[in-house]
Amino acid sequence: MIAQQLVNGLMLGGIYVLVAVSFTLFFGCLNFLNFSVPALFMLGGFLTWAGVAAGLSWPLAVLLALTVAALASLLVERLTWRLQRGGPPLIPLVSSLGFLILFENLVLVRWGSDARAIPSPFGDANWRIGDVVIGLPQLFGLILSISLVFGLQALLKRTKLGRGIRSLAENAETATMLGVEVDRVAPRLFLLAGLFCALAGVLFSLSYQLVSPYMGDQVALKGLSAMVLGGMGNIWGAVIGGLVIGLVEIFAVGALSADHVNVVVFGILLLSLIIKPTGLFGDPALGQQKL
Amino acid sequence: MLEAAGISAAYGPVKALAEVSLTVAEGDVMAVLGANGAGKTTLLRTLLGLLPAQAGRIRFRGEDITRLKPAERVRRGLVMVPEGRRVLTSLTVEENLLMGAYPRRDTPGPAELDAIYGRFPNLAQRRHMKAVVLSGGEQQMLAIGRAMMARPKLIMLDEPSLGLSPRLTAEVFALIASLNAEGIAILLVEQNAMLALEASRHALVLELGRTAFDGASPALLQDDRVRRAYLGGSAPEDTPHHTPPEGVPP
Ligand SMILES: Nc1ncnc2c1ncn2[C@@H]1O[C@H](COP(=O)(O)OP(=O)(O)OP(=O)(O)O)[C@@H](O)[C@H]1O
Ligand SMILES: [Mg+2]
Repeated sequence: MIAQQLVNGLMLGGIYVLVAVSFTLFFGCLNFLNFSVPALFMLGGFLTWAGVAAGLSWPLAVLLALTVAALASLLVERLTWRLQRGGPPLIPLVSSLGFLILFENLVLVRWGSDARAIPSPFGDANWRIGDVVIGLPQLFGLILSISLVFGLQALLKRTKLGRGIRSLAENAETATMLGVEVDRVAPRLFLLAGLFCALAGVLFSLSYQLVSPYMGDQVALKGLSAMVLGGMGNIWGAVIGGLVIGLVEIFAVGALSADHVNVVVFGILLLSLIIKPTGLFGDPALGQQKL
Repeated sequence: MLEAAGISAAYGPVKALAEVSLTVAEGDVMAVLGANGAGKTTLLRTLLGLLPAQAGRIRFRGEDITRLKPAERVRRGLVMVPEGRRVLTSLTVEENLLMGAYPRRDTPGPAELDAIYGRFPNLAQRRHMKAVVLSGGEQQMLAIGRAMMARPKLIMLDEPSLGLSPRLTAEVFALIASLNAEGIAILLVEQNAMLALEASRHALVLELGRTAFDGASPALLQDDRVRRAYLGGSAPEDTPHHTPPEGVPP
């Protein structure tokens, strides 16, 4: 029972990890709390369903969904972050919230508000170890999300773009002085971070086989909490935060009921922030060592 | 090589620079002096394009760069070593050096890094450590090494001796002289006026964002009236003794 919950929690956490890392990239590098993330997550998941429902093959539907989400992310870059930078910092945040509502309602207008069941391409494939059942789509999702974080880490450490991103994250003024152009880095970052959360949406739809125009809201709230829990702007903090929140959620369902999940998850988040306001990995002494 | 004509700059409503002109010739060392808040840092930031010039033109190597982005100016060889060094503490020493080459179109090879490490053995030992572990002097060397990675034609240094011991200050000035001997022009902002005037051929004195003196450094050093007004009035004999770095004209 406990082993099963551990497995389920980690696999749910894998999805939160991707969303939390996406928030972290936006916040850590650009100091931008991007509220369009839930919509990008939803576009990934929902459009995969729409593609399959329209008769596309799975890979094609996923590709289409990711492409649309990536373009949506670039649109947000142009129209919120780039256009409204330099003004009051809350303006891009509010307008990204506007995009969240816009994207969700566009999907709602086209496909309605009902949750849709999406068949799994893996059927009911699972793996049994003793009493523990491991769903293959979920396992695939967890492995993929952790591998993507390692890939992201390598990109940040070993490429010129990665060094530019980390320089911007530490000190935008110094980075500019050295010749980093934020207007060139930002679109790539929006593409990367947008793909991370859209892919999380795809994995969610594969694992839980249910999509809706609002599927991103709850998940992104958990992803955001995972970032805060991990320490605002630290990638590995976001990973641990995501896994912890996934575990807490599954154990809360098991021990209490589904209705108690948010009380427990956010109660624990608030409690941990009272004990350590900077989050698990947000060392104030390393305050500027983001990403 | 670098010509600024009548440049003005402001922080919002606060005017910080009013119609300042200067010319740095090929191979020149020019010092910029002035009291705290005179606008020295603002001048460098405007020349690099971190702050827009509200009036005036800036030319660099025969080209008007007034409207170019900082990255474009760095790519053309106009490079800054900022006030307070500003090394990127979350990056390693080597990554900091690579960031110096960021706007370049080619990738710096290991030989280039080795040349920097040859000059700065302390940095070589710490190449894979986070720059946060460096001492103030090492950070200054890293900031200068980083500037060299940009293949500079002119380096602007903002108070490179700030917080350094006299011995390290002499080392930094010797380094500046040897860069100059390699053909790199220098624009040097310095609090230590005597040191700066001895290390430079020309000097510009700023006062409340305006040019108060522009001429040959020895002339400024001799001019009693100017010295009293802008250099704290101390005669050269009263200043702490130091040896001028090699290769610098007296
Ligand atoms: N970011 C800023 N915002 C508003 N005003 C500023 C800013 N930076 C500088 N100033 C103002 O511009 C004027 C010139 O400042 P600047 O930093 O260029 O002086 P400085 O000569 O470099 O002084 P210091 O010797 O202390 O480094 C000062 O009056 C200062 O208060
Ligand atoms: Mg200054």
